[in-house]
Amino acid sequence: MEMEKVSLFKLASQQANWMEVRQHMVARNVANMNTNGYTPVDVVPFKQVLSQRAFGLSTTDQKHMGGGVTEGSSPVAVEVKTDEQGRAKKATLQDELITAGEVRRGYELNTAITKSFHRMILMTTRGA
Amino acid sequence: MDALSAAMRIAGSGLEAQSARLRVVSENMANATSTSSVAGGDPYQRKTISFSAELDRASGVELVRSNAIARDTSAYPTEFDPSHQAADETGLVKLPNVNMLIEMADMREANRSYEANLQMIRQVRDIVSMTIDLMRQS
Repeated sequence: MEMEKVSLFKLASQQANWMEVRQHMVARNVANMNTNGYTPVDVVPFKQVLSQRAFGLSTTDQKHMGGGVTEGSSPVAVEVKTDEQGRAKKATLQDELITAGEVRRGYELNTAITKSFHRMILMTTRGA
Repeated sequence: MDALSAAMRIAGSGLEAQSARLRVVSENMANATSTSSVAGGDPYQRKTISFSAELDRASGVELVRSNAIARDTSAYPTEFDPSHQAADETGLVKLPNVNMLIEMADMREANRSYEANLQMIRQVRDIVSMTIDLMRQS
């Protein structure tokens, strides 16, 4: 049985993929913190990925600059971080650490939900 | 390459860049009082390092690379010490253009950036083990 056909598993897998790409972008921003002229990047919000109306750099091939999407998974768009006036933001460590914390919490929640849903399925199949 | 191993590689290149920076800082600090051995000669010139984001063709990941080490061309401070071997005919000795305070601040910053990169590696590892934990019998 393909677990992806169950909608919750598909959703969880999509979100995990989105967070992996986000973690990739955070690592890139942190590593380039002291690089001259570097503009920090972030992924588009998950809501936008779900509605498939993503704008910006779409990474459909693993060699693309946005990078980091495995074959067969839906592409996650990457955009340059901008402030309220639409100018490119400067990379700051605190912003990146906050994003890293978000990714971590999100991923923990995601795996916990997947685990408990999986347990639910096991319960129905085992009948115990 | 998947996003997580790419993140790991990028953080690794960040660690490398920051340790190169620390090396330059320690070279500067160690030579903070290195004068010339000939009369009137130039002392140690402060080294500087800069970084650039570069696409690694093999893996398609944008890594950090340190550029060639440059020299700080600012003026040397001088000190009046006629008995010194590097003193010129007016008795002035040229000292290296290394400011200990700036080097210390740079060292702290390199340290913090190194820690931040390490934190990224730690988090990627945790995310991977969270995924593997899904397969564990519960």
